[in-house]
Amino acid sequence: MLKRRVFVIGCGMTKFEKPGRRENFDYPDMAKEAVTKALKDAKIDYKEIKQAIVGFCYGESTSGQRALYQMGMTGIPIYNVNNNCSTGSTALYMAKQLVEGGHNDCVLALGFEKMERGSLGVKWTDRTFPLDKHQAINSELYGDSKGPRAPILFGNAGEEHMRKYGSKPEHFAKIAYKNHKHSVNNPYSQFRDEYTMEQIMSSPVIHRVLTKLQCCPTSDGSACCIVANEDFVRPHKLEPQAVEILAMEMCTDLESTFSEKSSIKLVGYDMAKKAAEKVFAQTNYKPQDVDVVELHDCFSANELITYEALGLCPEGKAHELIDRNDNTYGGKYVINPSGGLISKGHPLGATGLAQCSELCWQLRGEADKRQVKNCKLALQHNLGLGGAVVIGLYKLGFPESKMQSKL
Amino acid sequence: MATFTKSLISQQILNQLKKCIHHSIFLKIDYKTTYSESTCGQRALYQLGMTGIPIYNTNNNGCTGSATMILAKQLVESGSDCVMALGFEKMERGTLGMKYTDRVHPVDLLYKQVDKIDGFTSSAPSAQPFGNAGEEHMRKYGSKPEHFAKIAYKSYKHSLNNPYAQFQQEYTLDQIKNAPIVHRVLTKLQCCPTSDGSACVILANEDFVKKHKLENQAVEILAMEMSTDLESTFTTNSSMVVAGYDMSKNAARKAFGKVNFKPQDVDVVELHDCFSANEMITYEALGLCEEGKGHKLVERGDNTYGGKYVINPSGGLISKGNPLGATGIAQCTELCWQLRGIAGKRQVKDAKLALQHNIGLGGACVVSLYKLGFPEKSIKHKL
Repeated sequence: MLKRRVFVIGCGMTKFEKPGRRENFDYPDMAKEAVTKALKDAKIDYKEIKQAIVGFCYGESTSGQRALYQMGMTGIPIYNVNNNCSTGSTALYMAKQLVEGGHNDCVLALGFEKMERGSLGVKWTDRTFPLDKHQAINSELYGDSKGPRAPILFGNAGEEHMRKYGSKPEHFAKIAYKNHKHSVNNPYSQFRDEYTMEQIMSSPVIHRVLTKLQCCPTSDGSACCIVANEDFVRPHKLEPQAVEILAMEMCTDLESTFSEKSSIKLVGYDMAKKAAEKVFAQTNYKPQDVDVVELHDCFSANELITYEALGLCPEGKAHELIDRNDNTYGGKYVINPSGGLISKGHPLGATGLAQCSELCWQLRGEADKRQVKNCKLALQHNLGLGGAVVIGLYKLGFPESKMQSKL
Repeated sequence: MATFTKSLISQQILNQLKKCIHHSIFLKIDYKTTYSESTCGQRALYQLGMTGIPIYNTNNNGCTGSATMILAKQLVESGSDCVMALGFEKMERGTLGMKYTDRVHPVDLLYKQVDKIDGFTSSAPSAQPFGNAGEEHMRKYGSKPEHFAKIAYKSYKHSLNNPYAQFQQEYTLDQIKNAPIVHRVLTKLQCCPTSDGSACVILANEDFVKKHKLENQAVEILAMEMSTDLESTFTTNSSMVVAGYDMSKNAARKAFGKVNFKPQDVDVVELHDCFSANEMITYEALGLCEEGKGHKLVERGDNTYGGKYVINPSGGLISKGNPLGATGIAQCTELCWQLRGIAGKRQVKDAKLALQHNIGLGGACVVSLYKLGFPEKSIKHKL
């Protein structure tokens, strides 16, 4: 079946904030801000949206409707979705498929999260916890650890990488150093402070190699991307800004997540690897062709192992990529120009859509002080334990029209 | 591209499914539940195999099950040859509650309307919009409490023949009318219970059906349309509209607009009788009778065996139960069995065209039409 081309035609997001910092900023307010910005960016009316997918992890059912009804009550189908930290890109991936299917020329993907302070908790204590098997394997490998479960799982993955491949704590800290530095130029970022390597490495230890400044915060925020087909782009004259989703794949856990007794596999390495392989297989591109990347640095350790999962470097060589500074301006790739989750923040439902927004701005040449020079090919990676990972590859849909609009 | 469903009803088919999952690159799975931590879908499905296929968790209150299905249908239409839609719910006892108290509740504006029109009372909140709708129907159209009770009477009777029903008990009309009042016309026996349960359907395209020689059991989804609230929900003075009437009407209009059938052509219906009052007004919203004449349909017995339609042969939500994530999928399952002639003692004779209606306040409504995909190849089983 010939797949229709699918484009991101507009993006918008709120500045991510510490939970509760903004007064009177509930999830409908966040959503309204992000959606309004995205519609304005796309220069279209809400009436043109045919379906909407809304991603959020924490909230009562139909929060998506509550958020979107403010924009108009047009009776369009609205779905509420979640997939832990990959919720935002799950919404985006669903929107892409709805446009590809042919019945909808324009679909909206919205994500928001109003988080509680402190590390992620459990609302439903009378039933099996979805990550119970992850925790069991982790205990098998490392014994029971007290403390928030996410840093424990990723901290152990970092430990395994050092043991197996010879990376050092400095490599992990350097990732955080880079992301904090990038975020200075991002007005949407929750934090915009630079730190020295010394400060990062001596911040409080959270778990093993992970210190506090190497961990993403909890955040309030929202992001929105509007997806359309070519039949929509052309009459609306959106060619100069239309970013094509060349390929996008979702992968859930493979057997190896639980069977190989590896912390790196436990946190989704193989599903990221598989999704990335599937994405590149659909195009004529290789990972080495990529210019700019937004990936899921919930913890510095995850960014490190993800370089390898995505094929940006050979397996076991991520720390060499870091040594070469091939993850920042002046190097081969610029990874997390937005500041990543570590500095920009991580409202679960919004993150995947904020990543897409950043990459669209980069490809459109609208990333201001964060602009990666000559970036033509962009890669996204958004991961949630439980789990699911979504990988997307983007480039300008009509680069010649972009040139013309500049003349 | 036509889309077909088949229900998971036997170990044989389960084995076939496992085979399909392992060999099909494009199999994707949707998983929906309303009350749960994120990625419960994966936790449930990983037991069947960890094949890396995309899994989505979604929710839409009472409409969750069919919202899952409409996503699955669209994924098949956009290129995946076989997609599963699974729903389950593990509910807490008692009436529906809230987990997040530090933020606006998605149905706050709806209940403001309830309060504005009828006054919010101390009755169970989920019953109020529907009890009020029933009251309005009686005032506007002359229906009586007996008509609402008769709907519940009918559904309990149907459930006697449904081994999947939470309750399999008959009640007299008097017992139903005299049961404790929940809200206005609604007595306890006219309200669905909370339930634990799960249901699953598998959707596929024609290529897949033919390859696996499933023509004899493939039920075609002729149309499946979702509507969310229209402006009227918050601007109306009508309790029936607040209870979702316009959403149901809009979804039905869209669904019938896609086919050459009219509501009067339908043989069997599974609709969202969370409360008897919702069944009453939904007869009209779906066009099974004229607006304002739902009680006449009840009087004629046109909602049960021997009448024009058989409505909720499964026993409906009232008697079968309502585990939110599963209900819409259980409705589809019943209709597939009816069309395939394997509904046992519940079998509606000569059922050829089936209609489904599943709604959640907040909100969303999905209306669907089904018939056998390859009637010439079907094998009608008889007990």
